[in-house]
Amino acid sequence: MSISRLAARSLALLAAAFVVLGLAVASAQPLPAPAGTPILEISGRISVTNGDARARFDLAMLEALGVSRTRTTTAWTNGPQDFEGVSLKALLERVGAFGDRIEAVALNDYKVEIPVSDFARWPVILAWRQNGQLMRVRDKGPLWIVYPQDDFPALNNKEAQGKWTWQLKEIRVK
Amino acid sequence: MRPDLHAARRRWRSLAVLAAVALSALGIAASLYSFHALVTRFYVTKENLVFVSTRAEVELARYSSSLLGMVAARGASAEALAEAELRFDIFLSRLELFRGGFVAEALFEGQEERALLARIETIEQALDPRAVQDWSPEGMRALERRISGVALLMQEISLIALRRELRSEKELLRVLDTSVAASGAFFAMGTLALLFFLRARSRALRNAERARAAAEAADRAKGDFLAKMSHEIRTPLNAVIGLTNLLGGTALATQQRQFVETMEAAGSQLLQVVNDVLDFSRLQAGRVEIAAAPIELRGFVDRLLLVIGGLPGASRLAISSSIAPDLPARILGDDARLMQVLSNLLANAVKFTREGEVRLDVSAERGPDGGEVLRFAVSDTGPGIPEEMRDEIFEPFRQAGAERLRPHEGTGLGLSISRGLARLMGGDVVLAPASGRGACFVTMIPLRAAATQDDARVAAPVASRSGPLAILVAEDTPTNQLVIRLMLEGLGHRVRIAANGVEAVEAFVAEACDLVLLDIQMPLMDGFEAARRIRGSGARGRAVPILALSAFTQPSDRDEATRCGIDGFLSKPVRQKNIAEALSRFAGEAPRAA
Repeated sequence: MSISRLAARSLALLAAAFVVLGLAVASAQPLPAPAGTPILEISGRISVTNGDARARFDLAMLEALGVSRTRTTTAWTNGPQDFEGVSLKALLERVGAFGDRIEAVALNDYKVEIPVSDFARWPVILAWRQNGQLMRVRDKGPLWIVYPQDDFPALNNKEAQGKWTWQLKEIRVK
Repeated sequence: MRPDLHAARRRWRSLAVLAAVALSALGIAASLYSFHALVTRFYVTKENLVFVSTRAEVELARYSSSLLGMVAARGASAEALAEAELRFDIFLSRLELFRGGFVAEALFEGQEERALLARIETIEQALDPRAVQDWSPEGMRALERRISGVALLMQEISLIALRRELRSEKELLRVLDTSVAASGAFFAMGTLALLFFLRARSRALRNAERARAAAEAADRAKGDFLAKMSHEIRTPLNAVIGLTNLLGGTALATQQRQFVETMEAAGSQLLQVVNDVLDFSRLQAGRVEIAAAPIELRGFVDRLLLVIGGLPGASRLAISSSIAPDLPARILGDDARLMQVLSNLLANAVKFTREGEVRLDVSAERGPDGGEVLRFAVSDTGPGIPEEMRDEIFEPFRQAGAERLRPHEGTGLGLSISRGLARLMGGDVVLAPASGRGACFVTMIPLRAAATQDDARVAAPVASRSGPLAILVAEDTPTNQLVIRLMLEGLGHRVRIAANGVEAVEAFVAEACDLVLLDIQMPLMDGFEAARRIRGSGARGRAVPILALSAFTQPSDRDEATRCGIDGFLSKPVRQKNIAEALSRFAGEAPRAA
């Protein structure tokens, strides 16, 4: 590729990035404080918060972002499972995240880093219902990052399974 | 074994080798694949059992320590209780993994281990902080004891997990070893097959080489046979022709003269046939060597026409020649062979032309590859070559118009020999496109100009004297002794005969002579050795002209003769006329009429 084409491409990308950012900021509604028990906290490189540089969510706020469903087997259960939750891509857009990776932190302080590009490549969801039931802590709830493992064989390995953070409590955008 | 069986066996062997190599490749691929499948199953797609069981132990420990606060506070605060409940739920979520799914399947084997599952079922009831009524120190101690029991159970599960992982690793190693061993074995098999194949091939090559050597030896034997036959046929022919020649010089009645002339013609024909067959065979066997020596072009053409002018029937034709002025005076070539090619063509022209002329035109032209080509065009006013015969006439044993015209003597090898020789010289003989009457054969050879005059070899020492010569002749066959004696004496010379090389050398030393004529093949000592000894015998020996008289016509013999100090050659069968010419050339003797 020639330098000029490279430059043109970079400029176009930059412009697109600005437009998207502008749209995101423009459409970003201020995030109200959670009315119920907060179950998720997002911090780091985000532009929408509801106090203390953090975005806190209760279940109703997450459900308001739109519900996505995924049916897949997992490495820890028997048979295919029906998961219900919010698309991680939509969630990060809602808080105006501008990092390139997230750190997912579980209740037991298990941590894993996930590139944001994962959420563009695959419909990854943050689930709160499994087979129609709200997940309790003992069922790996309240929130579980679910990859569509059955639809994408490339996800059927230990590295991808390491990202299936269950009992998620916090997302740090980096 | 028959050759087709050999070939079939070779084919089968090649197929077997191919199959072995293919099988090896397949085997290697299969072992590597089985290894890959195992690694994928245990190490890529599934949870690590030790990690899962250790996490459960850790979460149990954390739950247990969350209870410590309550012990210290001597009672359960709501906050501490909530923390304990969370820790317990997290532990339960880990415990859940042992109750079903991949982890449970991979972990528990046999009745004893599966019995652990039943104990897991009781844990929730036993440890749930929500079910604890009594937070007194006694109640707490009871809970602690239950937790310790579960911790032991968890540890047992961890040990099982460790054993399972170890077994997986061993299994992995085993499959890896098998893969490596199988790959090695298959590799060795393929290599052996290839080696076997290569060895068989090299053996086949060696056999082919041996066969080639044998064929070459047979070829040499054939050539030697030809040389021998040449000698054996020419020797008696020499006597027949020589004596007929001499007989013609005596007083004969008219009818007798006719008989003698017919005999002489028949002898010449026979000689020509023998020469043709020998030349043809030598060409076929690739045993003709082409020399490159300076040829004086004008002199060459004159000699050629002289020979042709002497042919029967030549006197009724106008024979002429031309040499293009731009040609070099001297060229490089094989005088004798070129002479043979052209005299053949010219003799043909004379033979087939009843009246008119025969011409030889020498010129230069640019060849198809850009080099300069010397062009000898032999044209006649004879019947020409019929269109349909143009290609055939160069085939051996063919003659144009043999049926329609007068029967022509000869073997029909002449054109084939001429073309073969010309091609050996890097040229060709072709039939020019028909134009008007007659035929025109064109000989082309690469034109190479020779250096200037002074490097020409001075042919022979010339003893300038006249009158009768004293000639020493070495010849072993009595008939030929008679023929040569009669011929030389007929020319007015004195002759002394020696029966072999030894006698010849003795005679030369004993008594002076003006010229030595040596047969080459003789008993006791051959002509080469005799010439060498005569040359080595002193000043007289170095000065005397020595001529070889032999039926040998191999170029290598001529080289050998030159090395031995022989000045010139007389090829058997010899005629009085040729002897007279040779004597005049080498001994300064004016030729005399026979």
